[in-house]
Amino acid sequence: MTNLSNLPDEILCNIFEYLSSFDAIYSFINLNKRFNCLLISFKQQIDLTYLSYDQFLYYMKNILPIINQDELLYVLKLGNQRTPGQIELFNSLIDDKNCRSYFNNIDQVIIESPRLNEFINFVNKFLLSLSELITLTIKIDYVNDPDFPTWTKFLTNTILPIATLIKLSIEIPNGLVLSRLPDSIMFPSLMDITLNVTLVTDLLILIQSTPNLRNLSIRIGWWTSGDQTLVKMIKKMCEDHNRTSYLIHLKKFHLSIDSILTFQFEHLEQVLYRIMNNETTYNFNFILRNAISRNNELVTQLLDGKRWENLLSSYSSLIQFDLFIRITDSLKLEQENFNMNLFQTKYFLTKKWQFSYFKYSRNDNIIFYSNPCKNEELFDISIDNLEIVNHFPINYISHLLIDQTNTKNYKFNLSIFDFILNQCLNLRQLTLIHIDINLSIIKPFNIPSLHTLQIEKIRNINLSNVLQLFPLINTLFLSYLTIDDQNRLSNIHRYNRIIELSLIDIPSNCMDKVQLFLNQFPNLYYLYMHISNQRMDDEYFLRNLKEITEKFPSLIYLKLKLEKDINSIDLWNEVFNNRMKMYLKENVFGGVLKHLWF
Amino acid sequence: MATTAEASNTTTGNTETATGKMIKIQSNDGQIFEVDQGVVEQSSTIKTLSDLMDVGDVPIPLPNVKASILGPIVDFCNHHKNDQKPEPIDEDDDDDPNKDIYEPKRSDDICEWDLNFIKQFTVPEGTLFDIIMAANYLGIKTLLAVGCKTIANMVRGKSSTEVREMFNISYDPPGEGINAPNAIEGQAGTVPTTQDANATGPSPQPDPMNQ
Repeated sequence: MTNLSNLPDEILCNIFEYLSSFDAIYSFINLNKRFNCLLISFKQQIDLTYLSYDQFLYYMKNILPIINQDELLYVLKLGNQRTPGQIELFNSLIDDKNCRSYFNNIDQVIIESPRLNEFINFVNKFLLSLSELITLTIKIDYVNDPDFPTWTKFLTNTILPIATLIKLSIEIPNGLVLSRLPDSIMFPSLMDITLNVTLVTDLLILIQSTPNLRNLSIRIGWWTSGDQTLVKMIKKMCEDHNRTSYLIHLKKFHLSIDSILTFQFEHLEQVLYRIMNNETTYNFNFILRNAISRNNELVTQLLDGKRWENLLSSYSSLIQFDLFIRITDSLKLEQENFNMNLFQTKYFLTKKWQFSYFKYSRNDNIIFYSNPCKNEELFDISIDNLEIVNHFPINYISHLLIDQTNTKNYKFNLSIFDFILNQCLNLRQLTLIHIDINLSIIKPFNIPSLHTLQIEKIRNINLSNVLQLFPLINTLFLSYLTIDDQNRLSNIHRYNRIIELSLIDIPSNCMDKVQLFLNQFPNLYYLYMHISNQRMDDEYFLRNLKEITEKFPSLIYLKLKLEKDINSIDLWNEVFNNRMKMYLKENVFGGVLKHLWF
Repeated sequence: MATTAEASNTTTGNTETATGKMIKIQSNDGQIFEVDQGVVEQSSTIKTLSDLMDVGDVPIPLPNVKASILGPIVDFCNHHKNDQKPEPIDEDDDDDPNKDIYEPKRSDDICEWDLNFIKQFTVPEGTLFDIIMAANYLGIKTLLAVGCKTIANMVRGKSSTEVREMFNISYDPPGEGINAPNAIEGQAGTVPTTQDANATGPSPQPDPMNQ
């Protein structure tokens, strides 16, 4: 009779591919020598950002000492996003010398959603002591306005100069400001940077300090050709008639601009001359996320194929060029044809670079993109006309948003909905807004990649029908107000697959009904509730919250958005009977966010 | 024994159907199944064999699969033969910093029909492993994925002690593997590694994850 041990290594490895590092190690460690060998790659890296508090401690105190006997840990990911307080807890645990020693060989760190003080502690106590650190990814999702200068100073003065770093990625709201970077400072070890900066001048400062870059991916908040600092810098560059790049090894350059205030194509040319390299740069990606055209200036400059050809033809090594430009403007058919002809010259055709327009009527948005373009931005649009069905590379879509708000010209019907979803075989997330279709009569969509469904502004939705239509989703976002009465209460359905639920617009004094509604989702790991508790009795609220958390032993993370803070931490501890292990709070517009880690 | 309309064992010659040429395949216990191109396309092994050999009326022998497993496999392929497959997207790994760290594949996306299908195969009878081995041998990626996901879903959250018991996984012999006197793993002690009563090392600790 066949058993698990009879399966060849390749199939056991296939099975492990469906398990996280923690789960694979926890379930298969020290069974026998063969399983220990198969687990080697799982022992070398750990992602702690989805673990419960107990699992986190178990890994740190029980699993790491076992791993450390015969393997070394190289990659560490930790954060606060769904494990609030984890970074602070990690900082305290590594005070122990034994525990710290398990991380001596770390060469890659990924840190998500740190708060300022704990990040500074983490860097000073831990990160700076890692002698092998090569790759660092920092994702900051929340910065208090008064803290912004401290963040900027710390990142530029402490992180950028880490001498061993080769690959660095920093994401920070509003972008990093580099204007205070000393002229003479150099970061010669850095070969790969992904960074968002505030202005184009920050980009110009950066490239003068990083001579060995191979890959550069920059997102700029604003492009302002009228900025005097930029004009000065460009003037200085123009004086030097030699168009030499600062980055003589650069292979790939991705430039993404959130918005443009004023623009001159010559300025873009000058910036690119200093970045892209004629001999080594083979990939250039230009994204303009959204800009409002004034007097058609952006359209005439940015959608001018002749200008792009003049610019790009300087780079004989360029093989791949991706373009995505979204401008709010209207475009006459003649102008559209004229522009398109300029992108169909011998140069573009020889390179096999082809381009398309996509226009959607609302807001007069023009999207001009290269084919086939896989930029996420391309698909973050609402569908409200038939053109998308005929002319759009719909099979690449990962996030589809269907918004039928204020649709004057085109009403979405059942067959188009069915047709489109059957084309979206790579879809991961679907957002439906103001859809008025009887979903109960369509055949279910078994799209394996589709995991998230977001429903907004749809009245009296029959949840049972929707979840039958999308049986493979595990993440659901919906408004409590959209659910019809029948589903709110004693629905017999159990949606075992849903592990993450976001429930917003929960009205005052509805907590007991919410409890009944949540009973349909017995396997929740992550729960987010936005509750209007302004007129809600605190005791009533906390009692219900306690009952909810008791019903969900699988719950790892609870996020609450409250209109009114309930401030007593003792009260919260008492309510959760010590089940809540870590707690973070942040003030946001219109209330307070509470993050609880179980 | 006929398993489905398309997958019937037969002694008649090759036939043409709406889905193209029918091909015969034979299990290791001699049972013959007739399958159409929609089924053949899902199995890289059968497809390669049928392309290479001018099989005519002769059944393709599949010596590693018995009829009690091959029958349900034909059912599975018949059910999935009209499934649409997404175009593979050659994603540039360098572009996504998230891909620097290993991320498990999704395993909760087994559709209802497949869930019911795989339920007929069990661990105690060993048939769950038989179907996985057969899917691997026949090169049916979708079925192999369903089997592997099923095992992954069974073990997730279980300690290695529980997994050992669940799948009857053997210990290394005394003095060998992780029980060798100089083996590093054997000194870890927090997880039981041997049945040998005389084995050294501290007793297994209570498992806080299962309390």
